[in-house]
Amino acid sequence: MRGKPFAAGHVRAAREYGGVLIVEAIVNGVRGVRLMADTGAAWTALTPTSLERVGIDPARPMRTLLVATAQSRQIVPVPTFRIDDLRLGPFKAHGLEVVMLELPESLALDGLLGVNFLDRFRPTFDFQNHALVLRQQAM
Amino acid sequence: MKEQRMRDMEAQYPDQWVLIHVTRRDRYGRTSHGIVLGHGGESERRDLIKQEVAFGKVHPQAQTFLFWTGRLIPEGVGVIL
Repeated sequence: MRGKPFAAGHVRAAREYGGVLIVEAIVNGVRGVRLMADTGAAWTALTPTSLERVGIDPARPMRTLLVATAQSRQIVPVPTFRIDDLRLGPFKAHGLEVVMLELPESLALDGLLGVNFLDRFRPTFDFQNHALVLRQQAM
Repeated sequence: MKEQRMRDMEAQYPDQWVLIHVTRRDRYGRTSHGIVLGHGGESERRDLIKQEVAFGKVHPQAQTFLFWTGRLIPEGVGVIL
């Protein structure tokens, strides 16, 4: 039996040094939030500065999550927050839980686009065409 | 030393490192069967790596596989790499 069709949309991305894809999202209505598409990140992450930029108080987390990061050999607790919506091209996710994560200041990144966003769609990384292709099951 | 299926080794050595000589792969190239050369907990991991290297010197054509039979990521731990 065939499943429902998927509607595809291309999200333009910048392909930066090393080939990584960086997309510009709209988070809580704030444009130009630069996120690196990262299948190695189970959660979408925002830096403390970016959280404040999208209207979230970093001092008032929803809960604490234990995470393993590349920056530490230890499993460390990190605060999480609920964002109202994250939009990427024609696609959006409501009520996404994000973690607060420090990134090196030399990176002009606001965070990581993790699996808890990507798995809501059927993503394809189109490196040749500098695009993240998302497919959403038709209603 | 007898050939065993991966799932049987995982059941026999729960939450352990297992070093095997790979004897069969499935159609996707994944290890499906092997002969156990050694096993142990986290403290034995380094010794198993040495054993794997030594085995490879004696049997250069042989393929080995050292794997953990338990959860790869602990329950409740998010990975952000």
